[in-house]
Amino acid sequence: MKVSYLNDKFFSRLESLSFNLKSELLGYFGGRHLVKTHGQTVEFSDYREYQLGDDIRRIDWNLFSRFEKYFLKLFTDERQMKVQIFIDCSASMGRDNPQKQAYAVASAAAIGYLAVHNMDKVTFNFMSGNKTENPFGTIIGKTAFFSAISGLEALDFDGEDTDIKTCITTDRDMSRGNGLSVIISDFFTEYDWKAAVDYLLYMKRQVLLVQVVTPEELDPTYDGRVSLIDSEAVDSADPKNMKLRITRAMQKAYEEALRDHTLDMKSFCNKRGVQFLSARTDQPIEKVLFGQLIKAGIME
Amino acid sequence: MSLLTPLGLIALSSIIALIIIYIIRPNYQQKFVSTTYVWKLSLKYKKKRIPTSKLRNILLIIAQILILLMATAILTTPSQILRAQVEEPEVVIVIDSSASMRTTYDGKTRFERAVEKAKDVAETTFAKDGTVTVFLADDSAEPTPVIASAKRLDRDAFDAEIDSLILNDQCSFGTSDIEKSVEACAGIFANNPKTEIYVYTDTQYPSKAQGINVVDVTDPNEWNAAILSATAEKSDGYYLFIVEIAVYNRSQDIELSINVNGVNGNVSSNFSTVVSVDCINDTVMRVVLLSERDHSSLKDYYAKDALTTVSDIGSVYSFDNVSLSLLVDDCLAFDDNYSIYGGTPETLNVEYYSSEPNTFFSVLLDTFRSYYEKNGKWDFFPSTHREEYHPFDRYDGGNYFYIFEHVMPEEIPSDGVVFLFDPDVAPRNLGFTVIGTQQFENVNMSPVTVDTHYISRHLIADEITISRFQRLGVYDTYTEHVDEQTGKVTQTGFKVLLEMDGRPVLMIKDEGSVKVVVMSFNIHYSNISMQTFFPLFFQDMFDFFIPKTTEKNSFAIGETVTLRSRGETLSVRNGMDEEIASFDSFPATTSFSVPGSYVLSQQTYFDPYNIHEEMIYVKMPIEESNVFAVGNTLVNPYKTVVNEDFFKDLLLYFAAALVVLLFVEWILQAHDNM
Repeated sequence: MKVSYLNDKFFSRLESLSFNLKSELLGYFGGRHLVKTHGQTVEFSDYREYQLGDDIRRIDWNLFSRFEKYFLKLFTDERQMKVQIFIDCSASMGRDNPQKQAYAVASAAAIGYLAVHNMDKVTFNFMSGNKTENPFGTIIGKTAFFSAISGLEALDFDGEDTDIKTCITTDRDMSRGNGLSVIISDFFTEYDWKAAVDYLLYMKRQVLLVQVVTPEELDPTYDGRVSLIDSEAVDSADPKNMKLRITRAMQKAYEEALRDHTLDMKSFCNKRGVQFLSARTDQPIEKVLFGQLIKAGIME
Repeated sequence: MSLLTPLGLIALSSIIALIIIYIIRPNYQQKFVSTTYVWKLSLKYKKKRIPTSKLRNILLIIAQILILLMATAILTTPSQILRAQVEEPEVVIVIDSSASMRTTYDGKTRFERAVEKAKDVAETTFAKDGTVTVFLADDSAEPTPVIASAKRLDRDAFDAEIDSLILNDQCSFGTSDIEKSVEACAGIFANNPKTEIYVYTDTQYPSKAQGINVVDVTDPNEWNAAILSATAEKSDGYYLFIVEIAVYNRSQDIELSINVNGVNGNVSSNFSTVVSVDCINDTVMRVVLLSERDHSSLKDYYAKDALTTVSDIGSVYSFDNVSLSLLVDDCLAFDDNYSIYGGTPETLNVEYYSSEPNTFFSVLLDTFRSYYEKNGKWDFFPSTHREEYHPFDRYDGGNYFYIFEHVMPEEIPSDGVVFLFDPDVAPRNLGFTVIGTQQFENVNMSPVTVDTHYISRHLIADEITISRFQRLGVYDTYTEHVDEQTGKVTQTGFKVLLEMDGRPVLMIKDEGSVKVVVMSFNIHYSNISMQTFFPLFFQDMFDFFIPKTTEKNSFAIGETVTLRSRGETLSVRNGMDEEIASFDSFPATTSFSVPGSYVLSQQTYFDPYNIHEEMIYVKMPIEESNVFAVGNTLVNPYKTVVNEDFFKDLLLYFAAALVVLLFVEWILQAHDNM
């Protein structure tokens, strides 16, 4: 049974929020994000001496009267950002746990809504295997966004294990330095997702990693002799499946492995200035969006 | 170490079951998870942390196998051999010596056949250098072997001793306890559990215990006819005789001869008759001999029973003895005869001396006369005397009981018991004085003796009231003397049975021929005559001072006979007029081992010139007449005991090891689950 968090109440609470992005965007004009470059807005930024070729209409005559030098008055520029949302559509994200899928979709929708609300462009990139699909194209404006949302909800997460690195590095729509890239996944993969992050940083993009995990993954309750069937396994003979005798020692080892994995992710992100967010599906999604994202400084 | 129950090793198959269980352990429970990525990572952690898990798994299996081995070992009853068992053959021979073993056929008794067969077994055992012990099973409480642990070298002595069993007629006339004799073999079993028991008996055992060989020494042609019991009962003053007879292993007509001797006080008079009885095998038949006077009234009553034969005998109101005989030639003759004694009751003369005879006493004595006439215990002759008593030597063999009221004799009679009632003065040299009359307003008496005396056992002191009594002065105090050598107790002085105001009102003196009871109040000044226990008080005095020698006149072999005496000594003589026992302390107990008639002779205190004699008859036990009796299952209770004697039980140690292993297994399981 499909689970959905997307409704009017959900989106209405996002109205008051906006992205807090870095100011080195190289995007196009027309957005709402103030950047360090100077433009034609009414917001004062700085002064500089007149140079040949400058428009003499921008000379500040008040300053000339005081210093007898020509100074130009500079204004900040506003750019449009492109938000790329990469969603891990492998079966581990939803085949056996609809809430996990719904959580990922809701997170993507929330980030996407913030983007279109701030006049930014949004792309939803669905990763599965080593391919990325962008069925909705670049979304600008709320009308296009809501039409895309219905398609987003109808999506089934049952793909094979996602090679995040290949998916992102081969994305043709990747542009340099013009916005935010969000990767939504559980990051429980043997593929090198860290290379994908490094690639995005190389492309001068701000990166946000959203890890969606279920309570069962954090604290598995089963014990005894258990045959673990991986949701991404092709058949019963797939090496991803495991037969284990889960004892208290095994559970403790699991906790340690999970803790080390999460610490490794956090350490990696801290070193590179990448924002990292881990969301438990048993927590209310509002708490994640309006708590953790704001606390992390991604939203304001 | 030795395994006493090797069959328990079958439990080792449980180890195979354990291995199979490990092989076909329950399938893994399937769990669908989103990813196994973290579980794969955790494997590395677990391997790092617990490198000995495989060793622990092996230890767990080893512990479980050891637990099964321990359990199997416990089932096999592991024991440590304390000492080697004796391997040489040992035989215990138990020969039944009950009366039925005297059954004779073809010139040999069963006992003789048993001894011969026992000798054969002994011969075989000696040939194997074995040991032979012989028990003679009789009715003794603690059987002891007649021949103990005889070996080959003792063979001559053994033959002599076992032959002496026949030569000395060691077969008894009583019963035998085979089981007790088998139990007596415990000591032999303790030394050699391979001991074999041979029981030679005529008792048929439906099932035999392991290790006991029961050898039947009967012959199918043997049979026996027996008089089981005979009684003489009085009806309307005349005797009728009831005889029970039985025939075993045959049905045939049996002739019973009856001779009643000394009929009706005439020593030379006798009645004889022969009754033919159609006996049925193993069935008790009854012969009733009726007096001619009672014939018409009782014949119909007894004739209703199909197993009863009714015949006539003359009118008998007393007899010396009745001799019964079966006119048959059966295989066991010792139960073919029977004698009934006690057909002539003794006389008890009650002499009541009083200047003013009391009507109450007269009525009371008349009542006793009627009572004893009916039950035949005494020929009771009361007589009342107004005149003063003058001593004279009567000594006619009768029993005398004197009652003196108010006026006392100068000297008490020496030929009977004396009851002094409300004495005005004390007889000479009797040992007490009379001070005078003391009057009360109806005061209850109180008993003073702690142990109730036989003659005062029915008196209830609280219910006796008196208003006047004779104060008794100094009297000989009661003492008991115990002869240290013989243990015989003699009594002297007056024993106070009831007292009032610290003064005795009822005393008894029992010093040899001086048997005196003093009651110091008159029935006119007491309610004692109205009490129901007053006649019983008199009856108790009769029974205490003039006791019957035996309670009955017929006993079985081995039966305990209690003897009482009216004199210092009592002797027992057998049918050959040989004294076989003598007693001087009473009541005495004895038993008889040979059937037949016995004479009980005593010189009573009250008649120094006549010997008082009574006769009793001792017969074989009834159960011995059945020469093909079936016994209970013979058990051998020493089979299990023997093992404990030769082996030390190691179960405790194995059980302790099992507990330790279970604890180790539990720890391993607990660690495995951590």
